Amino acid sequence: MSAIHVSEWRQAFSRRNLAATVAGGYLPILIAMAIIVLPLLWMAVASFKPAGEIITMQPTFLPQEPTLDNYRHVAGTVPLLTVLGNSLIVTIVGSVIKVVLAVTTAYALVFIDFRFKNAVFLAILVALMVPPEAALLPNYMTISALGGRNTLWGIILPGLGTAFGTFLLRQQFKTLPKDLLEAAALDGAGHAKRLWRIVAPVSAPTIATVALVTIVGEWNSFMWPLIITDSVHMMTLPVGLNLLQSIEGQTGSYGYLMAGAVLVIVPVLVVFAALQRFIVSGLTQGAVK
Amino acid sequence: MSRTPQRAARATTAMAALGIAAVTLTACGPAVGSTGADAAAETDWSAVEPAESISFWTNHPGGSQAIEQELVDSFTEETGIEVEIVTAGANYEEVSQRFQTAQTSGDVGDLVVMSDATWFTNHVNGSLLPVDDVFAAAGGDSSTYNTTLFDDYLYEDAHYAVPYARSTTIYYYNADHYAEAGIAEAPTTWEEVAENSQALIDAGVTETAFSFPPAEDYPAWMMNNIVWGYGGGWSDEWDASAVTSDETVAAVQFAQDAVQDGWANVSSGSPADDFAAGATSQFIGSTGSLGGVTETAGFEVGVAMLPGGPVEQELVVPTGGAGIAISSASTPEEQLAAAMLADHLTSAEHTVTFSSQTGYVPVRSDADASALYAENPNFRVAVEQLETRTRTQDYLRVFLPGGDLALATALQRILTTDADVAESLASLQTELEGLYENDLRPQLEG
Repeated sequence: MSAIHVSEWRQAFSRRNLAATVAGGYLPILIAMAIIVLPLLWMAVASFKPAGEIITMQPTFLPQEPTLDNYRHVAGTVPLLTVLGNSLIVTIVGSVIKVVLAVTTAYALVFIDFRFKNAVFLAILVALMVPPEAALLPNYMTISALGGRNTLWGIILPGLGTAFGTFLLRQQFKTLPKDLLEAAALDGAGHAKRLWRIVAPVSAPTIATVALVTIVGEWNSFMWPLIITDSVHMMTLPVGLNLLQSIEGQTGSYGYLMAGAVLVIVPVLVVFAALQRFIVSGLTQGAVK
Repeated sequence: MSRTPQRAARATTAMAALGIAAVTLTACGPAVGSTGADAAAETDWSAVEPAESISFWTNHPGGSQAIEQELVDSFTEETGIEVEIVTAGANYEEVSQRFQTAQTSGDVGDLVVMSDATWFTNHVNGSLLPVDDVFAAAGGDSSTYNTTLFDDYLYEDAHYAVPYARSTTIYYYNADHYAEAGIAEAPTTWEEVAENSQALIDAGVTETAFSFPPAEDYPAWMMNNIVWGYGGGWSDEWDASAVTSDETVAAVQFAQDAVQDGWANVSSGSPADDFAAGATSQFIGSTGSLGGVTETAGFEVGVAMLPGGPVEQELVVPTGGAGIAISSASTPEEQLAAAMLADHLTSAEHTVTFSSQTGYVPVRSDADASALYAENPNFRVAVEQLETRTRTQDYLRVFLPGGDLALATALQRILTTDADVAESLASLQTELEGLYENDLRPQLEG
């Protein structure tokens, strides 16, 4: 037994296998990591540097005199807790409603027979193809007329329908075996029960994927909240951090911008880390039957 | 095509707000700007009581959020007038766009930050109130404003804003490099700039002695200095032929030669960053960058007044930044209160406080700026230069929509290629004239 073990080890660490693993696996991963991660890492590191170390002819990777001044400045310029709270509310409320709407719409499109079902689906596809910028002005005029300027519901409301999520979930629901639901129906389960007890748990990875994309989208959303708010107390984090930009020369303010960007990105990273397990299984769902 | 009816509609809103009849006349009447002036003239300010609450639209220029709040709070304390500070954009263009959009919805700020390049468009659209009368009625004394800065908002005998967050360009040099190359003094003419730069290169202390800004960094603003020094300009009021005059061609040729001879370059990003990093030894930039550059640079930063040219030695400094304007769509009560706030924000005492927090220059000639010098001795040069050397900018750069961009693009092309200067400027003149004829003249003539 131990002899087999040793030979397996030997094989695994044979020169050929190592070379193949490094060339075919680690090298591409490292290159991709470098391209994706290095700028972010540089940003994170730079947020702890004084201005003189960011703009210099002799850049060093690690800060020579690490400082929290950049974060202090950000906190002094923008009411961080307020905008962070706004961002959280908008993201949580917006994402929950969006995902629930997407799940229920997709369920109706797949499992309930009603007239013009295909027309509804077509409309969703059309919505998917229209760039959101095109809806900016009509949305502004509507929300403004409803008195939604500088309110959190004004930020949330226009984005509630998610064509992408609905589309993705519909395609996922279509792959579910009909027998599963028919069996449940025979047992007397209504639509609500069938949706939340059977369809949703089975499709959890896809729903998680939609949730993640939605959360990241809501969190990073900039254009709409910028337009609909002008009081700093109602701004979301990305919009509030826009105040860090200096009109007259950015020379001293790169550190502030880096610190602000870190503050926006870290929460997304946390959410991503929590949900990534589901995402991977969501993407490979159906690959093997 | 839809411009005329729209503009007429805006004008009528303004007129209606001021309670004036004969509305239909404005549609085919004289220049829209002057209708605004007429309307204002008919408001009897002595009978108007200031409003109890107004809004102030700003982008907090130069990171002035805290100091703006402080000044507004002291205003509310003194007068009892409530002020809502609205962040109407991150830069001047956003504020201006929002202001124009709001003209249709009627939800317009009473006092609005307008940059030197955005106020005129808003004036042409009839959205700004001439400030002279209302400012006097609010108890303000506009004669103590720095004349150049105030006259930047002068068009056809009326001012449309008061100076607020104002800057000029200033000459920055790396004092350590100068000492190393044995250069004793900052240049006072462009000829000396060339000599100093060559000396810096010859001494081997730097590879790039001077940096011109790229197209995104407003090269036409900075290069106003050199073309004025040579006796040229970007325009003579609305006449674009100045851009192809022998003087302007000679000035731009000098700049192109500087790059070709190797002592100057065109910065890829911002000359201020390159300078602060030590990559270039001299540049011309806004006084607003003084704080950031001084803080960032690991060497002694020297500043000097802008160099003169062979023709003009003194009046070679362009001004920049923003003023505050009063909306013509507001009620007279709100306008009066807005004028009071404008006076408060820019009073001799407060303009110094504002400067100390932002790096903008004090806008009143009777302001005591000595406190600022203690903080940063280099600031003295900025203020002295402001008092003696500034000059109002050329119309086609600041007033013509797209004018600055056309200039910047042409200048970048000239400085970074070996394009023929006279030819390039000739096609620039055609472009500027086209912009004026198509976009501005029909509006100016109503």
